[in-house]
Amino acid sequence: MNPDLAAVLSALQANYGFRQVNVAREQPLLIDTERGIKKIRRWTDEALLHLHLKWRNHVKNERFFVDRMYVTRAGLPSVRLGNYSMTCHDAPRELLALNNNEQQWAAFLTDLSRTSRNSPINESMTEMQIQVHSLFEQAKQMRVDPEIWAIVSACYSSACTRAAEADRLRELHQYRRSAFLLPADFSRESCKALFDTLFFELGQSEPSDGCGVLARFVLTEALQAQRGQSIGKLLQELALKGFLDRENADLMLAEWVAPDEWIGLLQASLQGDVPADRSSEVFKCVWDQKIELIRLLKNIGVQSGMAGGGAPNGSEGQQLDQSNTLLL
Amino acid sequence: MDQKDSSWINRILFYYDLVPISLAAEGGLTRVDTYFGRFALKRKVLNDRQVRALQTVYALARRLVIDAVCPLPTKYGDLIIRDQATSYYLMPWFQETVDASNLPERYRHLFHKAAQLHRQTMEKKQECATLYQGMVRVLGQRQMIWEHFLYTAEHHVYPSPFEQTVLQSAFIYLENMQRARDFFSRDKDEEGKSKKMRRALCHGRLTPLHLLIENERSCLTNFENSEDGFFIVETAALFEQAAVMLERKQSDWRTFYQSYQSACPLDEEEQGFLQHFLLFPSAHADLLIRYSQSETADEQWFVSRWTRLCETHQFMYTAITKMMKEEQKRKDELRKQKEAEEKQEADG
Repeated sequence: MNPDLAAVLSALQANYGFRQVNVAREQPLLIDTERGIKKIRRWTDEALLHLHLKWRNHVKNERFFVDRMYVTRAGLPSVRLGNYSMTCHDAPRELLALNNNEQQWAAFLTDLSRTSRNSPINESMTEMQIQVHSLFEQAKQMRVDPEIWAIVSACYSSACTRAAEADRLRELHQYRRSAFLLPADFSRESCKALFDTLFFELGQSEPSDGCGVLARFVLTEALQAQRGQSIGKLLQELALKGFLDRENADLMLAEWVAPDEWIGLLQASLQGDVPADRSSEVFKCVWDQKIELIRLLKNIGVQSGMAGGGAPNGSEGQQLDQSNTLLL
Repeated sequence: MDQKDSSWINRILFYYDLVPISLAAEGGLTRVDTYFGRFALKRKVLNDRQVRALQTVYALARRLVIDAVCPLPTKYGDLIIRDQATSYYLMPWFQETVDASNLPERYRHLFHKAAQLHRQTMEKKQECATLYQGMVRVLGQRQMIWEHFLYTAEHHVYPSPFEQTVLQSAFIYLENMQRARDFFSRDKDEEGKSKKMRRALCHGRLTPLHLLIENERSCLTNFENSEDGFFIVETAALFEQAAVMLERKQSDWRTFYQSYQSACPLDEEEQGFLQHFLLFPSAHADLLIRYSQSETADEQWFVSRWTRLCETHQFMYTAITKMMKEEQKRKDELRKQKEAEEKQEADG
């Protein structure tokens, strides 16, 4: 065993009063104790640790578990070792599948959207419309793969419309006082099942705009084969439970309307990173899936500030959908 | 215990990293057997103030200031697990060796533990004018109950057996109440300053059921209503309660009083308070109200209850007053002896 790990184990044993400690896994560090498997997190950023302690304190409730920090024998939530701190957490293994548990997920996200709130995260908000335009103009001057260029130029007009719509939706809520926050690395791995209850692993990532993170999570899940139906149910449950209020709906829609995949395709092509056929394939899937999600949300009847929002057959909304889908 | 019950218990025990081997409902508690020992799980509706009270007591018990059975902290450091409506907490299990029905033994321990609690958390003296004024208000209410009852009884052509019994002893109680009123109306000392009394942590609900006894060890529990206050009120109320709960033959007031005094000696003002507080017992007034409100009164029951209350009360009051006088006599003798010795030394 390396000396650093030995020191860690010794510190854990002394501070948390574990009688026996064995390493179950090194990355991430899992220890096997007489009280079960525990996850150990290292924090080099004290401010982030402090923020996470407060965050967990806000979101803790009786409806779901949160991976809170264990207290040491002295009643402290962390152990200082050298130039970093360590925290000890529960480590349940069983994932809570989204399929057939949509109601539980929706209830959890709705609860979380009420408790996990703070000042909006100041992300560098370059207007997407400008970004699309400047990138396109830049690409014109450079050599881009002809296959990619064909797709990019064909979708340019739609990308501009979508970028403008995303900017408009975000602007509607840019002066909100508090925002729903989720950890930037929120994924299906974040939710585990424990005693028929959801266990939320808040992890140790920076807090990020919850609607954006959730929209990206939904998109990722929807892109997985055979998960479309489950996502449909999740959105329906979210609407039923009141998660999809005007603000949340607008911000999730903004995330799907924003032509990130178009920007990504062009940037990858300019850098020559990814083979053209693969990146264009991914682009098409994402572009289609986003349209599908927008349509799904509108069909649920969610009120939003989107052009034609809330009306499945709204003239403007339909026009936006059609202009997008026609290209693919 | 059904599956639904054990499901929420498992969830609660997860906060303590405990896995139950067996569960059993015992009174208001759930006995939880685990590989790490036996625990008592309590489910109760608690408000914010009560949670704060438990936290205060836990901090005191942890610093060994007081001896109390407190909630155990969860692995996250919480003392109480709060649901929307209910709260839960886990305590170490006490295998009680004194039966709940053995009231004399329980009261013996209770007086001692109450005294220890008051002594260990004793604070400086504070002005007690408000307390005295409150006492006068309570007294006024009791006097009104008595007067109302007596007025009704005297206007009956044929007073009922219970009314006759009360009428016979009424003059003593009315006189006692007047004595108490005179005492509590004087909230200033001879120099005109507000009287002061000592404060301490009061349990709030001292009863033999909130005391756990395992062999020689006994501990107070259920501290959710505890708060800082003039502890003599709690002490006096405990004497009054014991007089209602115990039979005359069962109660050894000398032992109870000595047991309290040995752990928390009362000063002169507090002794005066206790003596006068016991002059207007609440149980008597409550019985009068109950009789007035009952439509079909069981005369025999009311008469025997009244007789028993009066007997025990008189017995307790006489014993405590006698003890106080003896103590005072001893103190006076000691003082005289000391003065004589000092005089002798000065002459010599």
